[in-house]
Amino acid sequence: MWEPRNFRFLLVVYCLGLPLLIWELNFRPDDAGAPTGGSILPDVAVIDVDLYQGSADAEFALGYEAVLKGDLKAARRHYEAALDTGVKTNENLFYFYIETLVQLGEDQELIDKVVEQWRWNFPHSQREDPRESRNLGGAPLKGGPKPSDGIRAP
Amino acid sequence: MIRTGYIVDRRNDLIWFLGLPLFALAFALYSQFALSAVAIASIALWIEYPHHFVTFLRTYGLSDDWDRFKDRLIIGPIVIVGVTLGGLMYAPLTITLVMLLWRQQHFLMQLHGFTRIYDFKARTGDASIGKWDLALNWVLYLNMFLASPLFTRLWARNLTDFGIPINADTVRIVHQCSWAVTAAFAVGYVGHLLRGIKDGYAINPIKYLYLGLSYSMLYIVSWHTASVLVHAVANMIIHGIQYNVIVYWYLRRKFEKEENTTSWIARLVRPGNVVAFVALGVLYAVIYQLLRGGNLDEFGFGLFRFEYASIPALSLGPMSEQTAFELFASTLLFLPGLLHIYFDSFIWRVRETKVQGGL
Repeated sequence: MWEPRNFRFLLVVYCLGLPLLIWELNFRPDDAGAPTGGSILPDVAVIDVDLYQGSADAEFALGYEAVLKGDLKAARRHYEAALDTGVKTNENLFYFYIETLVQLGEDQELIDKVVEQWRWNFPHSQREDPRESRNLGGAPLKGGPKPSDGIRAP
Repeated sequence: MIRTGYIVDRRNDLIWFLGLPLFALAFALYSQFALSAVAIASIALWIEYPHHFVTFLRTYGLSDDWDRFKDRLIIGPIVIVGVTLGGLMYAPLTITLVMLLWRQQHFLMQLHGFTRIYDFKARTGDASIGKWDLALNWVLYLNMFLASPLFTRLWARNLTDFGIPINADTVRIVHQCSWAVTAAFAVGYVGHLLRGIKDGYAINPIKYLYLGLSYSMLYIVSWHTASVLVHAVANMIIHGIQYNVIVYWYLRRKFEKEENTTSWIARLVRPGNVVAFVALGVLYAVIYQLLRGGNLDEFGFGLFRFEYASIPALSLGPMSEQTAFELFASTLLFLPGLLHIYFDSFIWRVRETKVQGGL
């Protein structure tokens, strides 16, 4: 027997999503997620750098910022600091780090070792081998991933 | 004043409800050290999927549940699938966020549910302790969600994706407010507890030990590791395994009380059949994984790779992932055939009198 009151909980869950729906469909700016505070980093990365200095995400963001500023040596330092924290779930970190090493003309053995780590953690990645990439240590391609993509949902 | 009670019994609670958070923490840290990012998917496969299965086993397999919740069990899936598909097409951010928040609410409600069972079994707490415990779980879980680095990134990112401007100062204010509310509530909760004790209500220390261990584990993985892998592995282990345990014992005790020994679920949860219960959950996980075309590495925490190198001597190139998957799936399908061949090798010996008796 159909009892509308049995569906109260489901109704509450979806009703709570209504304001989000209305916002997403009507008020969400087209450039949502883009930097707003004068930084070249997305807002969420700026928050990371400000609040969680030394964390994997903060170091990753700083590495990305250094790439955008053309300072590949600094980028390498930050990417390595991020990897030293033991983070494994941020594919962009591995990928951008390899690109940076390639651009810096680093030792092939080191690059191959990092590629191996990337493949170990992301064996099914569809991305091209970063050793053949023309990117600059994570500088964004049009339509490509953003650095904030490295931050994933638990 | 103090009265202990257990969800299952002393030994089982020690293992599954008090010891498991510590094991989960240790395993998650080990994962961070020794396993690849694939470990998250493996834990989902071996623990998350079976814990979904036991829900279906109870809801669709137990006639009592089916009769009581029939409309929700039929209409609910239709609505949820419809809204989710519609959401993914027209409002992906909203549907993703709703799913994520609902999942977190589900985690906290399971923690709350176990605290309620502890009081129920020990007959402890005053009439309002259920509401106080619910509020306690909400406050502790929300504080973790709002103030921990791991979850801060998550909600901050979602807000920016929605185009809602925030900055580090806003986040700091949220953190401070969250901690202030948590501290104020903790004082209120302890006050309520002391008042209850003064009025002669007993408390169950095991409940608080369970809460303490569970939240300690969650807070540690959310604050000090800030690792998605560690958090996901630890959280899925305690949530999934404890759920499987409670469903197993719920079904077993229910059938024992009803003296029902004939239904297939009653046989499945009979003492001594726990391996069959677990095996069925695992079988569900394997089938689900194969049907959804999930990666094969996820079966083995990324430690085993289903890769087939080229064999130059035979002019064979490396096998594609799709071909490797098909090979694995077809091998799996052939397994019952292998069992048939093996069993037939010893069950049909005509020289044996027991076999002769059936001929």
